[in-house]
Amino acid sequence: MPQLIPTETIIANLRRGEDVNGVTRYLYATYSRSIKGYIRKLGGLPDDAEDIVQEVMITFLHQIVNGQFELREQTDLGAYLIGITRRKWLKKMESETRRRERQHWFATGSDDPQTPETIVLETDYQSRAWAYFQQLGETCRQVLTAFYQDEQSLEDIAAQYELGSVGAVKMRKFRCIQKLLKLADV
Amino acid sequence: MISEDPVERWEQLEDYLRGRMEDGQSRQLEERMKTDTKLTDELVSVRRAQALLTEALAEQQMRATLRQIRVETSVNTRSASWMPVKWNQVVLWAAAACVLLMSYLSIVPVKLPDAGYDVMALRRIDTTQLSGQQRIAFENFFEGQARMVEGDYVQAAHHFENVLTVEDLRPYFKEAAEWHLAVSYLQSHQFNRASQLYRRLRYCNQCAYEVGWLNRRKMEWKLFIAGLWL
Repeated sequence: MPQLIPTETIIANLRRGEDVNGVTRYLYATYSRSIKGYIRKLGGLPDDAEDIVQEVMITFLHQIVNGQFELREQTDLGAYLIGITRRKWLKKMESETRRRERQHWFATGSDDPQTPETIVLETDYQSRAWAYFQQLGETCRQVLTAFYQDEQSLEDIAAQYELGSVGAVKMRKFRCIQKLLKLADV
Repeated sequence: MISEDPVERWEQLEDYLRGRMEDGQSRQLEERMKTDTKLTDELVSVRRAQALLTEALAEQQMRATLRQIRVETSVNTRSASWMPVKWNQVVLWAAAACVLLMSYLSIVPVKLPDAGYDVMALRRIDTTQLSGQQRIAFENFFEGQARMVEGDYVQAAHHFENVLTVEDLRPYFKEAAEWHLAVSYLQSHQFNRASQLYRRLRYCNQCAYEVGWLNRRKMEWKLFIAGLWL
């Protein structure tokens, strides 16, 4: 059993982006078994369960970062994650049913039954921030990760990524962030 | 001094939000923001960028960790998946060996060491001149053995009982007769008698007539099985 990390610490760390690796491993070690068991009880396969565990963790992170998760005195993190799991599974099942229906309609030549509501329902919430970040160039991602996550100095980044000078790193960082903001504002 | 260069100013605003700016410079920045809306907007952008980066980088880390866990788990599962196969085989072989051993112990009769030609059966005797009692002991012993070979264990038991009525038997011969009697009891379904006699033989301190480990196990197993039916 991993050493107990208080829920307050988990939330604070994820919100600040600190020790995400450790917190993720803790959450996985502590709750993945019950999540997988729950999915299997609902008729899911082991691969489904593994996928859902990952989605549940990411969704939990989004909820913390976006302030959707409120820590109350009686909050049971395990029960909360099972709640996310249930919604994820239902959404997956609904999506599967719709996909089969669409295949059926396509085969029989009927109209596509999709409505704007169903499209919204099928579109799983994804972190916009991460999606935008992925759209940046590789050097941008490396520089921003090195500076903000790994907290490397500008000098080290300049040397590691052969950017020449500290000024050049600042300039690159600035442009990358502007691009990120631009992507986010579209 | 707040820089006029946008790149440097961005760095300064980041320092301000992270609490890394000197007090004097912070106050100066705050004063300037009261009148400079462009600077205020820039600060909002920096804050927004930092929020986006915190979330994106946290998710990036979490995804990487989950990927790593998945790899580790699949490696463990792969190696673990070998374990049950191995253990299954071990358990299967062990079960088969147990069945074989139990069958062997149940089917194969107890084989006692040959004591047929031990003419030193009685103490202080001249082997050329056996007394009437001594002769009775010898004759009954050999008769009992012959009955055992023929499968007539009731009669065999009777002969060995006669042997044991003779006093002053040498320990070796006495124990041999007792063992033969125990086996005869067992084979003639007199399990209680067999069990009582075997218990005594089993716990003898200085056994003169040595029966091997395997034959003792055979005896115990047969008595155990018989005990289940009693």
